[in-house]
Amino acid sequence: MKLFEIFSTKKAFRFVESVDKLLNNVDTALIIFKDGVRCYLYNDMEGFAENLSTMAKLEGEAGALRREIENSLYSRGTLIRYRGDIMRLLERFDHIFTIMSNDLIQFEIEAPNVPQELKKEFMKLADLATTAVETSIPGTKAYFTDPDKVSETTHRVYFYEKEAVKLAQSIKRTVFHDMQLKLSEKFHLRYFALHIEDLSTAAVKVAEQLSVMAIKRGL
Amino acid sequence: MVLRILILSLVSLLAAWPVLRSELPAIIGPVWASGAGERWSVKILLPILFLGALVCAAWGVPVESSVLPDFPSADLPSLFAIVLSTLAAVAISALISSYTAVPFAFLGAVAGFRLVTEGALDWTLAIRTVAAWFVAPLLCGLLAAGIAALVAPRPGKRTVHLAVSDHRLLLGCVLAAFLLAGASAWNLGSILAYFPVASFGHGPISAAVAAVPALLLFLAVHPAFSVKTWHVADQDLDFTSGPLFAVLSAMGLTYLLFSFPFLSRVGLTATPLPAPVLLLSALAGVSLARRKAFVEGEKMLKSALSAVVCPILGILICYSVSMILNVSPEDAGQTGWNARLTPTLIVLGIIAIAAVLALYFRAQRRRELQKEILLSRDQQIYNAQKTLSALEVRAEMNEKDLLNKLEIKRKELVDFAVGISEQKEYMESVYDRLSHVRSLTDSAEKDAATDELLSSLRERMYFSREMNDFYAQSEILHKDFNMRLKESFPNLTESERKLANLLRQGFSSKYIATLMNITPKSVEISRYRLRTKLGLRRSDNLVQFIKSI
Repeated sequence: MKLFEIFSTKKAFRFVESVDKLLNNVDTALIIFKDGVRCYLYNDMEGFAENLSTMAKLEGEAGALRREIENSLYSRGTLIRYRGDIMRLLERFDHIFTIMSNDLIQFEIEAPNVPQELKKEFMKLADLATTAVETSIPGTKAYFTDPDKVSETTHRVYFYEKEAVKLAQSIKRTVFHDMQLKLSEKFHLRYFALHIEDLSTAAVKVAEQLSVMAIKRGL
Repeated sequence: MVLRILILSLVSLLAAWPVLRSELPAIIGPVWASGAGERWSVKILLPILFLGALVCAAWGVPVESSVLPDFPSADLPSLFAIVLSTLAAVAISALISSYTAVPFAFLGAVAGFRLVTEGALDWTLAIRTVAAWFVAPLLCGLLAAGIAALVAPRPGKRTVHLAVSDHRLLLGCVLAAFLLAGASAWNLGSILAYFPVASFGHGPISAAVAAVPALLLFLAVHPAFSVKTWHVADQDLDFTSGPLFAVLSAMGLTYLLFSFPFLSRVGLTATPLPAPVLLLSALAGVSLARRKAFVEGEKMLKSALSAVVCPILGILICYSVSMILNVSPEDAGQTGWNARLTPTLIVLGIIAIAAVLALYFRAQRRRELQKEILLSRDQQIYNAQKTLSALEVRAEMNEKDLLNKLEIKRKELVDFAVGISEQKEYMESVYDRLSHVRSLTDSAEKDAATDELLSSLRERMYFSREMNDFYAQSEILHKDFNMRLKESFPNLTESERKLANLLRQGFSSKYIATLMNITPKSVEISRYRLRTKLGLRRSDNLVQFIKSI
């Protein structure tokens, strides 16, 4: 009966489950993204296509989970003081999904010509960017359980983002200063470096949001 | 009969107004802030519980507190005087803080009425009541602090997911909201027990006559009530579920404790309590427990002052009104309202005049404010126009200046052309004269012709006409400067003014000597004289001074 559903904790646990599932999806998507970039760089096109389809599936699932969480937050009156912040956080994760999915699609459509000597650098950039996002996941989990621990993870996100930015700059410098390529190819490579770097910037935004939310939880 | 219904309606309206404005938002605000108000169970059950408790308290259970006089039936004018005094006291104390104390004002008014009718108060009871007024907010604050400390997450404790902990707190808030609604209705309803509407002789009709205006008033002020409640929920209680649970529980428990007579065992008494004061006390308690300011100190102080002022004003106003109504101990409860019709009308008239005066002064103040706004706008427009005309003048001056410059340039061009033709003519004449000198055979004639030619050339070298032209043009170009120079230093000679003009244009002494047809030494002497006349010291720069004129 609707009048007495307040006494049931089932929905609260379902919410916990949905959030955990969404964060696990993000984690999986990061692995898929990394593998997708590796497959593209080392010409494993079959593996790349598989990663692309998995990413699309994960993105769809994450969207559905986000809507479910939004529904439980707004229609069932749970977490009334936190729901705006939680939704903003989930939207930031959604943005991360969009970046990863778009990057893989652009690799497929535009097929950039990555010189052999830059392949390792691009792989490392993808590693750093995904690590920045990965580090924000425990922070997000900590926000729900132990907000004091959020700050412990956020500084690591900032560190990885800085490293990713540095590497992206180094790639761009190499492309424009040291390599004999057509200007269009140089632009193309810069564009992809920028897109992978965007992932780490999105992770920083998650970390910033988490910091604010952790402070608010103390009020 | 009609007059009776009208007065009853008026009393009902007057009594409902401060409760709706001040008491209810402070009770409903925390419920809305906690999110408990979004639950269907709360939406349905809470009003039922509130109204049920109110009705029970009003008609079912007699209040033991005898600080309130036992109103005899059909004593409407007395009730009217008390309610009116309450409203006036609340209106005045609301000027100090909107978190005022309506029940205190009511009890004060009752005490004032009793002073007139009985000539004395039960001081023991009065002291107990006042002590309860002080103890209740303190207790509420302590309870809130204790509960807030209890629900605060402790380090090292097993971590619970936010969704689960918030759900538990929400459940707690819902239960606390029920407690608060029931207890506050029970507590405040004790005031209603002294509105003996059912005993006016018409039972349900009288009750309806009293309830319908209050209900209509509630519907009429509902938007304003919602705004006030949302203000309390959003502005004053914008924090997490833990502190809100503490506030709701503490308020509910305090209301409950002060609704039962067993308090007399500890030297206190059951008394109606103001919700805004309890709310602020609870917030202060939560601030104490969390070591964070959940409420501003100034707001607390103002509210406390307002709560102290309320009963004092209630006593004074009700005493005065009762005196006007000529309530005597013999009259109280025995004379019908018909006997007091004239004084009642007088009071009503005074109130009407006071209200009209208040409205008039308010309107006048508003008119003055509008006038001030208009005046400042006019001033702004005037300033803008002034700036605009200054710009126009400047533009016109610039235009004139440009036209002058154009005229000078044109003249220069013409002069240049004339000069060329003059020079040509002069050279031709020199050529002819030299040819003539050459053709002369007589040496005396030759010498005379040569001397004549030389003197003509010397004369030419003085540039007298060109110099005059130059000065004339310079005069036009630096008209303002020359005017200012003449005004500031009228004792300067013509040649000193020329020197000042040339110095202003940045010519060196050597050029000035050539232009003025004097030696550089004379220029230095002239400069020295000019410095003296301008009153400059040795350290002052002559050129800079001239440029600054």
